[in-house]
Amino acid sequence: MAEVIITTAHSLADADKILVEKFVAQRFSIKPTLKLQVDPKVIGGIKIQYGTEEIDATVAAKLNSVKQQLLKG
Amino acid sequence: MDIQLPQILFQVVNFGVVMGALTYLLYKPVQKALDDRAHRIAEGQAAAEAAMAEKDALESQKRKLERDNDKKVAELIEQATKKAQAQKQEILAKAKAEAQQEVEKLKEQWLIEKQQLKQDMRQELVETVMSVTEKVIGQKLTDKTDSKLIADELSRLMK
Repeated sequence: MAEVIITTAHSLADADKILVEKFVAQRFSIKPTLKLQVDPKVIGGIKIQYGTEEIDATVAAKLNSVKQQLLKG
Repeated sequence: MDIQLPQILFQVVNFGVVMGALTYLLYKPVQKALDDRAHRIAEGQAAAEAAMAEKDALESQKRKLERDNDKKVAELIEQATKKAQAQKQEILAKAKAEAQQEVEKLKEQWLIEKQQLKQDMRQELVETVMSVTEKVIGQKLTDKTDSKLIADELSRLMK
């Protein structure tokens, strides 16, 4: 069983957990054990960490990307 | 009155003797003295003329030296003037170049500062906008909308 860290701004509903588990299994070809973390700093969306791999689809990450674009001008 | 020939002859001989004696004893020394004096005067005159000629030559040489000196002084003044002019031009050119360089430096510095100020203002503006945006999104995003957002993101990532 591979541990995958899931970070969200709100607690995941059961249906979401299933959806996430399915996604992770398919994406990394593993049978995952989800370690759920709640962090309001991510604002919304989801961050998935598996070993050295990371998928950051949080609102904070998107806003940060926009911020960098704006600063580059 | 009788003419006495012997008496006349005696007188003539006497006169001749006196004349001969005078000529020998007085006329020749006086003539010699006069000749010597004339000779000395002529020598003095010649010496005076020589001195005058020498004086003229010296004055001419002096005038020539003065002219040469004046010419040399004029040349030296001209050379010094040209040199000073060249130095003046060089100093002016150098000062102008330095001033130009300083202006360029200040302009460059001003542009950097302007750019930095612009960047700082942009950063501050972006920070403010992003901070407000984060707060607004945080307030608007409910469990339900966040759940939908997660589902949408996962769906997008699956593609």
